[in-house]
Amino acid sequence: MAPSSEPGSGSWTVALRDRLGRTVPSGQLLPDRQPEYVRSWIYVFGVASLAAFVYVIASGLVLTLKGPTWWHQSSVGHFVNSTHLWSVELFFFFMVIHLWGKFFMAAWRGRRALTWVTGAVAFVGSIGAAFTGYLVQSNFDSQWISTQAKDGLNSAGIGSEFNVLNTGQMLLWHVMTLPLLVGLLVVLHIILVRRHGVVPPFDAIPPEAPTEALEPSAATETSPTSTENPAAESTMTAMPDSADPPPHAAESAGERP
Amino acid sequence: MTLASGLLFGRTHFLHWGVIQISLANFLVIVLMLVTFVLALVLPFPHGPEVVPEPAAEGGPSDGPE
Amino acid sequence: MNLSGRPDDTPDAHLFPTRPYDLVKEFVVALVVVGLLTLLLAAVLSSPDKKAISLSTWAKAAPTDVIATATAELAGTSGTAGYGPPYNHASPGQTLGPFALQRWAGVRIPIHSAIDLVIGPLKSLRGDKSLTAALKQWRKASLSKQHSWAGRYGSALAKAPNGNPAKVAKGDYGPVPVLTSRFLTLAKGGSLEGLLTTSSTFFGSDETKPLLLLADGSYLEAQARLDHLGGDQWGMMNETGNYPGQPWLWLYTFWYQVKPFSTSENADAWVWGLMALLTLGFVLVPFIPGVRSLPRHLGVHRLIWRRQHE
Repeated sequence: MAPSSEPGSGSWTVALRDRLGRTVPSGQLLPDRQPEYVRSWIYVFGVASLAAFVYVIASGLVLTLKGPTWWHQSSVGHFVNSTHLWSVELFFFFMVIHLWGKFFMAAWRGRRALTWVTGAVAFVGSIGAAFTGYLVQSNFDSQWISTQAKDGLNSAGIGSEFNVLNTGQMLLWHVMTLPLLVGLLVVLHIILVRRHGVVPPFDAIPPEAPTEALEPSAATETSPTSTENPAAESTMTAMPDSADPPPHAAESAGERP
Repeated sequence: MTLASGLLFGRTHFLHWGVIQISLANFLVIVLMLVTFVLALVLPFPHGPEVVPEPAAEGGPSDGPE
Repeated sequence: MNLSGRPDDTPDAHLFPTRPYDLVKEFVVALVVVGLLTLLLAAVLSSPDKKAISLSTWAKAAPTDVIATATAELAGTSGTAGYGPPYNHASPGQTLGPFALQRWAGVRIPIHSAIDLVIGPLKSLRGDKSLTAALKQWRKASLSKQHSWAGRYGSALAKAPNGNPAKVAKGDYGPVPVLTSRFLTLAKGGSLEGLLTTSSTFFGSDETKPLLLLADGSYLEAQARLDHLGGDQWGMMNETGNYPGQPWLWLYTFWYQVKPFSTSENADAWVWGLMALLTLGFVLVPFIPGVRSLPRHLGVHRLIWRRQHE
């Protein structure tokens, strides 16, 4: 394999590759270990939400195959519509419980503010996606919800740009624009979780923690963009092909099933 | 057709407490969410293998730059 | 800084002891469990599909409502006629304190309720001499004359038993009785949606006009209220039948149930503004002193990490 260019060579490819490589600590994109404090059923609701989201998209994809009125005319179509409805209900069910858990853990600590923000915006975006879903059902619900919702949007001055009475427009927002946005936020959210790891308990102290990690210069709660946590930096930026391999790397490799 | 769709058609059921009006279905969903949340907090999570006191620093074998 | 002045000294998660965990297996298990749940719920509970109200259905079920609505469109007194932006300039619209967002957005979907919703469709009918004469009389009259005829007819309908046009007191209503009667016939015939959506374009996917017309009547809302979908019935949370609806909208719809929102003409603007602010607060929780320290003090985390506390 060709060696990478020297740092500062000006290559955009190298710069992007290096930046992407630093996004998640080496081996943490799909780790086979997790912190021992992750030991509660509350932790399964994120993956449960993700699984439900997969079914929302899958059932939605099937619904697109035969057009927006298929489900009124076919019992198979109606069944697929039902799976779409219930996967959405499950998605919100699990996502809200996931949200409650993350709030009570103050999971934004340790420079995880953006993880919270992407999750919260994904939640709000999901509400928008569900709302447009109701609008494109082409039944009584769509008639009532659209004629009611128009008043709120018009009062905010956005009703003409986002015309809920225009079924064609709402259908495109529902099957393309909003799922893309929500999907993108979900991907970013998960990458951020992998980047920072699961938030430790309040006041937890890792064994043999380097003292640098607790220096006052570490990020404060008011400053999510402040300097890197030195401890995080030591794990996230040390390159695997450095002269001194990271401690325990060999042992942890041996632990793998 | 469905096995029991008749469960959810027909006369609707609503609960009223002062200004609050909520459908029975929504009420049950919210109650179920709260119960699930509490159970998730209190039910013991199955113990995995003994904890090996090794930090996850650098994770497993490198999957770094090519 | 937060209330306790505590800096964020959360240590790096990667420094903690770990144990093996199979994330992929966990995801597959989640997919299987959620998939089975989805199929089971879909098979047992299905999904609601209350049929849309066609304008023909409306006309057959509530003909006097159609007549009254058409009259109001001609009189300029219907909801759409007096709405304001984005449909017309009849009203300044709602305000949020000094912010007149509705008016500032302007008239971007121009709708002339009499012409677009009533006269336009009627003009497509041919071979009806009474209608042709009525349309001609209407066209030649001034706007104030048109409003005067239609306004008087609307008042007379309201006083007639069951709003029955056959029992309206004699009066000077101009061509309005003929126009509205023909409009009802047109609606019953089933072609009104098409005339309102595809009269100027072959591919119609914009239901703005027929929906505005339907919502200007009282039949749609009456049907909705039967299912507790009305604004003052926490309707935003509800679904037809006994299906769960949207419980996550509880806070949005809550404000409409209480004063001052429930009696305000600017309720939509205020509720929207309030919810936009609260949503922003929700998204920015990590940055809000006091709120971001709540979890530590509430102590629910002791249940999650009780092994660490033991």
